[in-house]
Amino acid sequence: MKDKDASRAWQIVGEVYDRCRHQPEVSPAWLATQVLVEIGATRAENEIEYLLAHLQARQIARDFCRKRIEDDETAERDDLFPGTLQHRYPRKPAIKGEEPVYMLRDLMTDEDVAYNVARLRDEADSKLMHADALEAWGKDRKRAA
Amino acid sequence: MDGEQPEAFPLVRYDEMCRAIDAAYQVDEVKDIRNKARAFEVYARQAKNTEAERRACEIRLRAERKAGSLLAERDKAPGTAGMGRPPLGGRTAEPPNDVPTLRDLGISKQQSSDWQRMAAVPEQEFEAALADPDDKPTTAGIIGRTRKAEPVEDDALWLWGRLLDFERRGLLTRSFDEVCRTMVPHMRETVRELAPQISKWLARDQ
Repeated sequence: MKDKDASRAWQIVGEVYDRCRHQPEVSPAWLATQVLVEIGATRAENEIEYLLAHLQARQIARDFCRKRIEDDETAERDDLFPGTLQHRYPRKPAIKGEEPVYMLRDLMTDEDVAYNVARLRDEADSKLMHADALEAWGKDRKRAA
Repeated sequence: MDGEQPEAFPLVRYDEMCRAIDAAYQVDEVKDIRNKARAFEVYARQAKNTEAERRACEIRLRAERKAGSLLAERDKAPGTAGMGRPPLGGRTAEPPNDVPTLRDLGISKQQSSDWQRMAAVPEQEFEAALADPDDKPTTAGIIGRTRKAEPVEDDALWLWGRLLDFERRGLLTRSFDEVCRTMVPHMRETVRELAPQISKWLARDQ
């Protein structure tokens, strides 16, 4: 796919997502289907072409979700708590490794919250430990010199 | 203590004892110096004479180190161990059957092991430990200097990092109440429950 096409595809996924911003759950597969509806591609015309297009759109949608939702450019500042809370979070997967389904924060169950807290803490802990170890190593080296 | 007082442990006596330790070639000789120094150390501590205590402690550690080195030599060559240096021009000693055992010398296996490990500490490190003005030298401490550093545990690294965070975030310059002021009720409850436990835990082994 050319850069221009890729950028246009990304834009369409964004438009579809923005229109459905208040939909309870959004998954890359669902977004891909909506994108194909948007551009007028239908299953009836050519099944194989449709499936391949859906696969490609799903890949773009997965990238979009990761960047737009998880690295949230439109993250909202909560009135009460510092830091930025996302508009959506991945639902706790029923099967390990399944494609994430992003749900509105307000609709998350306690289990979903706990799953996301643990996920974020794991990511943060490994970075924190890395930073602590590097700092300790640096101080140790300075002292030994 | 043969009527000796801690005050009677002048520099000249300290040097004399150091020389005696260096010159000693039998375990029981240094063991005797070590025991005297130990008794003196205890006496000086009771008399609250820290300088005399420190000097006696240094003598004791030097004697232990020397004993450790003689014991190690003895273990390497058990045939003539403990016999001492043969006289110049004298006959070579036959391997004896009556080498004094640790029990004969009044040395426990633990002491023998510790002293031999102390004898293995490089001279420079040993002298540095004795000269450290901030830390009273001990047998275990000196042995510890040669031990390979254990890897830092995850929890130890984490605790160190978080304590530094207190400083980095400037929390230590603010009052506890000020920092907690905007917490919502459940956060306050957690703080009320955990803060005293953590404070107690931090103070426990300090």
